[in-house]
Amino acid sequence: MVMHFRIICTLLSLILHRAACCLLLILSSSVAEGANRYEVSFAGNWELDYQMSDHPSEKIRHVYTETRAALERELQRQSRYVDPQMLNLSSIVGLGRLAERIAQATVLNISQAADHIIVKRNDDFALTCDFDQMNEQQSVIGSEACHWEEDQLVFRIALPDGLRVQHRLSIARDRSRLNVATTVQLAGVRYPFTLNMVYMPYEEGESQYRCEFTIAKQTTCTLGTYGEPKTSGEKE
Amino acid sequence: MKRVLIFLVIVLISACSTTKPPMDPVLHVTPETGLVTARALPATSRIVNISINDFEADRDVASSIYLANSQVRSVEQRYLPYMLKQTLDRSGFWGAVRVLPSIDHGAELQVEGKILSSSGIALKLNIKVTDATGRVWLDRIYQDVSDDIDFVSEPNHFADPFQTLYNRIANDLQDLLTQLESEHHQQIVNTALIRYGQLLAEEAFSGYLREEEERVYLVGLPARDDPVFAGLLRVREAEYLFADSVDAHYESLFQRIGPTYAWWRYYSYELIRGNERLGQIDATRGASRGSWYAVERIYKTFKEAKMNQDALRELTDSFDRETAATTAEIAGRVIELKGSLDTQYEMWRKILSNMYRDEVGI
Repeated sequence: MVMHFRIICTLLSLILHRAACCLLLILSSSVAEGANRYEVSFAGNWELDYQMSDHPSEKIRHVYTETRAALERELQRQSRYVDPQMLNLSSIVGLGRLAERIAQATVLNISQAADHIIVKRNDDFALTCDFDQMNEQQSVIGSEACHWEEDQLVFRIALPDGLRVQHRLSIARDRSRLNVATTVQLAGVRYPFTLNMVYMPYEEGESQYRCEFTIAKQTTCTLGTYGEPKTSGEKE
Repeated sequence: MKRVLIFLVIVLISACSTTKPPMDPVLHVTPETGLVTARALPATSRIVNISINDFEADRDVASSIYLANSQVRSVEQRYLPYMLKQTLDRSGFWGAVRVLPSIDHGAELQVEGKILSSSGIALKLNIKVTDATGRVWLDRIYQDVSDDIDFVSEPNHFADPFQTLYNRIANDLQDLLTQLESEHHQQIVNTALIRYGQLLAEEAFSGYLREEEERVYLVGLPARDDPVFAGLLRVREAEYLFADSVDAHYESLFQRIGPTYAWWRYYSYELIRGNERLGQIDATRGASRGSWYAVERIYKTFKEAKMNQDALRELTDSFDRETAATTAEIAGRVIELKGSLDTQYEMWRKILSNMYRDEVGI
């Protein structure tokens, strides 16, 4: 009887211990995910640094060549013939072109508070993250989520037909550059495609772009400063 | 004991599982309902004023910037009551119909609404109408579903796809109004006035009312020549004037946000329907599922929807920021109120209460 009682007690304490551990894990993971532990701030105005950013066409060509070479090496090792059509290399071009369109923003205006961030992009929708609600949220079409990975902020978008888009924001310690790594993935396509777009800070009013919000659903950016309208040929 | 252990394990496991939200039932297009309008002006003995306050809305995420729905909801809370007000005005059965930021304690007929769901596809509202005596006129859920026909042309906020829903509410209310006996009508009007007085100076008016189980009974009225009563009528007139200027704010919201809101609904309809269609090969789009063209279309649709949501967020933010100061005049004094509409309303109520107390020397 005493033996039975001990076994039951041991089992109960085990269950309770596991449950407590589970709870702790859930709590700690949600805190880790939701908290900006490194107190990173992406806030500010940023414009594209063409020199440091990926050039989409070059990157597509590079990824295509690398992937093809890697596959050929692998096939040679297996010493069997595989129809090149089956490698579906053309999908790299397709994904690359799509990534190029998705990562097209040349200007970012980021506002960040303790509980949220809004990344406004010219000619594109804003990436938003509510740090108190970082779990998956249903959107009009598909779903969205965001999370911290150490000092990087990741926005995930899941769309129909297995289309996945991820934007990963990271910033240099001296805040001289901001990197947005956009990865596009499609169900059935073996290789995701990533484009790194690097942005440098600018003071509002100095930019060559003037962005304006209009009721017609879009933020439109035009060339020119906030002062007098300037033609592109005018010298500083 | 073994059973107890199994039970404990099941409880622990079930605690970790999530429950699925209840699915909305299949929606059916409801037949169009025309608005019943009055052929002549209502008799004076039948005039009832209506106060509609901002609709309530469940927010999935409190003050979230994440879900565009919560941004849209905050617009709808003020936009939809104004739609109902316009419909009630057009019906011609009512006295003044006013939209206010909060419950009007001196209302003859108070309309409260809750937005249960709203998209381009469907609108579902819970409408509760109570008169000054606490009698509930109606407490119903109204639902309307849009159709392709509602979105064949460019969206226009003057042609609301859910007008049928507002018509049904207005018709139901008109139906109840025709059943209203003149004795009860008088009770409503008098009770509303005394309740308003209670709000200004509770100690002076509480003796005229008896409250029992959410009903309010009028047990007496002050004499017509009582200065307390005359002062009350004057202050209430000023209140009405202020309410009219508040109403102008709602009209301004309707004019400013209406076009964008109509576009949001248009996109919402298109996107929800489009999403349903994406489940199949869509020959009309000229792209079969899995093609690059189809993939690009998916992203483009998402982008358009998100950009529209951004526009609504900007507009909602700016509406709150830019609510202009309200100017009201009472007893030859012009008072300017600043801040959000809700704050202005509260300030106004305090000013009126103080003025009334000064005037009658309470």
